[in-house]
Amino acid sequence: MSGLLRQAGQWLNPPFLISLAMLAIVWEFAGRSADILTLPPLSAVLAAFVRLWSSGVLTAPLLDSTIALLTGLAISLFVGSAVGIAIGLSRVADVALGPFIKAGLSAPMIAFVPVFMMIFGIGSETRIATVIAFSIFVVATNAATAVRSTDPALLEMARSFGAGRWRILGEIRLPAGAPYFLAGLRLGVARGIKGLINGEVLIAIMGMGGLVKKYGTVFSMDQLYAVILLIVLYAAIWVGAVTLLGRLVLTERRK
Amino acid sequence: MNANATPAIAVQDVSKFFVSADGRRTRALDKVNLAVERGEFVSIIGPSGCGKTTMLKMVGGILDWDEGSISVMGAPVSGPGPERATVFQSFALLPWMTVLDNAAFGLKMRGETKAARHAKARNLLETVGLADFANAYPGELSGGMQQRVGLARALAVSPNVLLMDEPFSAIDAQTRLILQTELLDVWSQTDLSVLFITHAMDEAVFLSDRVVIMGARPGHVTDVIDIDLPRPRTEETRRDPRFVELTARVWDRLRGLMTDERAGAPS
Ligand SMILES: Nc1ncnc2c1ncn2[C@@H]1O[C@H](COP(=O)(O)OP(=O)(O)OP(=O)(O)O)[C@@H](O)[C@H]1O
Ligand SMILES: [Mg+2]
Repeated sequence: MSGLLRQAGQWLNPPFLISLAMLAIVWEFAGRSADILTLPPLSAVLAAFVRLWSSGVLTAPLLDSTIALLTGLAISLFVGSAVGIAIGLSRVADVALGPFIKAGLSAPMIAFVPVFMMIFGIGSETRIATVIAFSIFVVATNAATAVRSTDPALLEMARSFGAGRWRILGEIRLPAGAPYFLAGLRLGVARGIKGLINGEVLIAIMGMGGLVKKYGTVFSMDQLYAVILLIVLYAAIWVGAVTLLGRLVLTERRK
Repeated sequence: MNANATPAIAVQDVSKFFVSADGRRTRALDKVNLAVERGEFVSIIGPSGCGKTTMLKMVGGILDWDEGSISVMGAPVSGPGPERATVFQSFALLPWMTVLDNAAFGLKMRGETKAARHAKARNLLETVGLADFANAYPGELSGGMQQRVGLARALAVSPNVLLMDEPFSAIDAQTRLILQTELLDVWSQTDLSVLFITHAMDEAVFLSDRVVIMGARPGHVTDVIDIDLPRPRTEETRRDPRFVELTARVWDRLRGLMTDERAGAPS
């Protein structure tokens, strides 16, 4: 628990608070003084945020997006880990599937969203597919590294006590690879949220990305920025939570 | 049934080749012969790269050989077996498991129930003086304590043969002397046969009934020195003129091999 507090405390340090305050001040004045129509002052954005939040307009899209995100991430974690573990353990799987994983890791996945729309239509499946496309490759890559990078001395030890291939996977490779799996999870969540919003903006009628599209097309700048603020916070909270979870798991094991 | 007549470890005319990346076959071991009698403590000493670890892995059943035969307790080796257990130079403890679970790891691999393996592991932690650390994690222990866990893990499976590959080489010199005495204490209370690899001549002489000296390129046995020091061996033993003499003899033989190595040819 004290670990949790210490982690949270890292965000409340003076240098960060000062740069945050500076950003807020610059934003406020730039928004007020210049006649830049595209940048409302921060105070107006915050007011719009409070207004939207308390009216409940944000709640449904937030929940809706979250369900799609979790569905996509669950599939990514399950399939991505399985494929990654297979690649990490077997040369044949590595040769057969490795190149696709490498390509998928760097390919601009947003290009596939129109394809998903054609396949799945204008529905939740499309953004779930986008979440998966954005996150599955990084999960698989990390899973492969996780089971491949085991200390050979530990493998030898387990073998000398008669452990077979699967026993070694369960008892040695998977637990030893935990830091890599957690890194994959963290990156997968971050990329999955990118995929979610990307997909929703293109689909235009659902979730938080749908709100971005909606307020953007009518030039309701304060509400648009309020939603963007919500998305940034949403992503930061998710990634922060997963990072914390990872640290807790690893310190619990007291490496 | 005179199984007792067969040695604990019998290595006969064993040769081993490694195939390097460019496809060349190099001979790592050349017709090695070695026997460890039941209840005997034998050390192997030799220059780096002479194939000591390779030998031990083959006896442990985790590495194949090309020619010759190896048997343990009268049965040919064809993989790891319950009558053998290994203690590793790098300890090879699992950092995410408690000391107790580490000590019980071998038993878990043999399918013992949690209650049974914890009971045995606790017993052995007591033997190696770590009863109070059962719930600690390896990272919280000193090197010497970690290797005691490694020893407890090996002993927990009740082996007949204990294989040790430089088990004390990563441990500070003072602790090392203490661990040597402790190891002999444990060994003398059992009928364990031990094959022990080391680079330390005094360690080999202090522990062993016989010291096997190996030369390199390719690995082969050059000498076997009987250590006729009385047991039990104590701190007194280290000051015994005979101990000093035997250590010097081991060094003489080894030094010959080392100068060969430097000259690149026998001198
Ligand atoms: N997997 C392998 N592939 C190719 N060559 C190997 C392999 N393992 C060992 N060797 C070679 O076999 C020889 C013997 O190695 P080994 O590790 O058994 O030596 P060692 O006597 O244990 O040395 P040290 O005292 O340094 O531990 C060395 O020349 C080494 O390079
Ligand atoms: Mg070695």
